[in-house]
Amino acid sequence: MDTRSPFSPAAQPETKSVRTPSWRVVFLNDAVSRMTYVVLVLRKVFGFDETTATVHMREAHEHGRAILWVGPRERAEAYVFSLRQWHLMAIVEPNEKG
Amino acid sequence: MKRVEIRLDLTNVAPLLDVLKSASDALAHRLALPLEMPHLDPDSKELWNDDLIASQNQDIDGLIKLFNREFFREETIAFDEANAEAMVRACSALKLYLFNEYLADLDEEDFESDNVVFDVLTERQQKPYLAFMFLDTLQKVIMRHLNDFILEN
Repeated sequence: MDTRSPFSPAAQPETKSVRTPSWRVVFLNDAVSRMTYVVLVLRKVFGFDETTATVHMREAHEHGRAILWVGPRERAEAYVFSLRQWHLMAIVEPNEKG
Repeated sequence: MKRVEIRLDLTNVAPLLDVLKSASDALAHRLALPLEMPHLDPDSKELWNDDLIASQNQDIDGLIKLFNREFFREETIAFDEANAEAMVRACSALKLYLFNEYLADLDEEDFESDNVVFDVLTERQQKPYLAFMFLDTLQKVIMRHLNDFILEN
């Protein structure tokens, strides 16, 4: 007969931290939007200071894309929606690629 | 309230208003920048599309209305804290449309550095290009004078 109590330590469930998958907001460069406009919009939508917004703008200008924000999907989508209202190209993607 | 008045030369601007009006009409039911969101489910995508088109067209209507009878009388348009944000967005939407529809084959570097030679443009491209540059200038002027209000709004 198995005398082990179901409440013995061995039977206790292990506690695991469950990570919510994170998503990222990626800004894509375009030929039409002026640099000053992009900086203005990034400051407006994300609350970046001018230096941070300029760094992101330059990164997108030079490499075609810049990661602006990482976090929960719902909020990432809200940011992309706001950027789209300003006619900037941005996408949400899982934060798993290199 | 801070207000910026811009005096425009009617002879130069009037021919461009037709281009802006037809761009506005063309965008009545579509986005200047097509929605590409592969991770969005179809229902949400449709909702986003509708909301973004409504927002885009509200901004563009506001810009087009600046060129009313009063403009033809006074040759002046005005921007202030109340309309600056929408006008800057409207300029972007119309610029995107004009670029994608007429100017996309121009050299990107020339375009970004304002080095496009007008004489090499085709007849079909000339007025849209002038309209694009007009919107670009308006946008720059608004941002130069009302940047802080847009950020704080």
